[in-house]
Amino acid sequence: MNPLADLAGLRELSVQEAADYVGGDARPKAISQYGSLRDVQAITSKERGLQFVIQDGKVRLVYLGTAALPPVVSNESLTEAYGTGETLRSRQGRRAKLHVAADHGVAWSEQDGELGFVELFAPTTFDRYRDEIYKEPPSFRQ
Amino acid sequence: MPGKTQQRRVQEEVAEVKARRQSASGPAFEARAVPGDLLDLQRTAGNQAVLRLVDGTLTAPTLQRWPWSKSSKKGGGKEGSKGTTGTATTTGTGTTTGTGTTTAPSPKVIKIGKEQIRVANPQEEEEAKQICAKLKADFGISLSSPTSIAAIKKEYDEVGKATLDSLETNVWEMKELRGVLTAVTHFAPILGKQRKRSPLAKRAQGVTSLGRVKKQVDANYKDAPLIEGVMGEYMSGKSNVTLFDTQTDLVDKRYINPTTGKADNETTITANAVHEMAHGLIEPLYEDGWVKTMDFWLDAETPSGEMGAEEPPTQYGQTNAGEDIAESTALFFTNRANLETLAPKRAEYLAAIVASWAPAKKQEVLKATKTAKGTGK
Repeated sequence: MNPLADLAGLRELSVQEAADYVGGDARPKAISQYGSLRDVQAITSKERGLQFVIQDGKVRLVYLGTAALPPVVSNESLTEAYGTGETLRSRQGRRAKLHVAADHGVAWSEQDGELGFVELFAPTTFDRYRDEIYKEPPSFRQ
Repeated sequence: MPGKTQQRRVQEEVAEVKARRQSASGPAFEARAVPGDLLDLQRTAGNQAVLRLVDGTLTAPTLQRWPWSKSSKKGGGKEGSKGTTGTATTTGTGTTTGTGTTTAPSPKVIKIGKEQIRVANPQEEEEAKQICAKLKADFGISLSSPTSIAAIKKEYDEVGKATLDSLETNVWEMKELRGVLTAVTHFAPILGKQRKRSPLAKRAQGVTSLGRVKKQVDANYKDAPLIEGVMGEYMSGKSNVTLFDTQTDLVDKRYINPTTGKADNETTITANAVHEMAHGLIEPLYEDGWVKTMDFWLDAETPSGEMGAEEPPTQYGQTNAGEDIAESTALFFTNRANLETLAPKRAEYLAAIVASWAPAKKQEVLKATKTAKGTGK
């Protein structure tokens, strides 16, 4: 079973649909950046740990923090569904890993097995994800 | 290389003081100290110790007592004094000559419990014992480098055994002990005895041991090597803060010694320890509120990207909310004015946190006082 089955459709939403999904007076606002994505807007619900990142008038990435994830989504269930993917360093922490299943359009961060966040994006290659979306965190010196 | 720059500066200061003393009192200084040992002393005991030595604050009798010769101590070189953390044992070598010239002291390493501490003279040995005892008795914190090694092995469980087995504890320098004590003191209201009277009394203390290790592993993967560059780390699994070699000689200009108004090595050591302790003492309790309050964060792991949001006070603090808290706390306690300028919302939030640590009765008094003022009484 795909733990993200109910959420994967979020990346297909139009900007208006994304705003409706968030509800209230949600609307796209310019943000400084998301990862390496610049010249972007976002529809954000801090309460729900959710952010639609918009570039060139389209939803480019959906960020799902732990508050936005149902219990069925865990590091274990994601690993079962997608394998461990390619692994990158994660901003979540010094021991954290960002697992990238780029061909499925999914990346997730975990530290010691504890899920930190999930990103949904249009399926792509690992190289393009790393070059266009990912931003390497600084060395954790402290 | 801040260490080398600092070393040059100290050499210049030493030369300057030496010149002043020579002009004031002739060649007496030459008979008391051996300049070749000064750099060693500076490295191990700190700039102030060197300057005190050169300036004559460390007196000749003090030097003549060094090293603790077996004949000068009962027990054949064993200090035999028992502190809270165990018996201290000295293991140094002697250098006093019979020619009438007293050489400068060679720092020696003593053991207190399982910890090794480099001391420059008997006063420092006593000071080391007092710091260890105070950390344990007043703050509920043990110096335990073996605990640090155990914590690393526990948390970096994917790293190869050979690498983990090559982890090494290191000798504490006195400046590190002093810096750590200063850091711990900032959290005093929620540590040890005082914690029992604080609103956090029923919660376990997040930091109970401090250790000194040479190098840290790179990250948690099989082939991870030991690396330099890591200053410290908090490891929740053992409620442990570990300091690494990188921080020993570092001077970070952001952290200001309140007495001198200048950045220095010991204040940087303090700031680094405060940073790590904040991960264990503040982050677990206050991160949710921090994230809700700070527009910069979408959640604990991710910036919101919101334009105009107050940024963390350092670039490193932008990594995640935990690092933001730790960086802000380090500045709060070592350069509050700078934090209030760079990130006033954070300074205010931390001030409220620290105020909330006051014992319940005291808070009631403060509240009553505020109410009285508000009603004009």
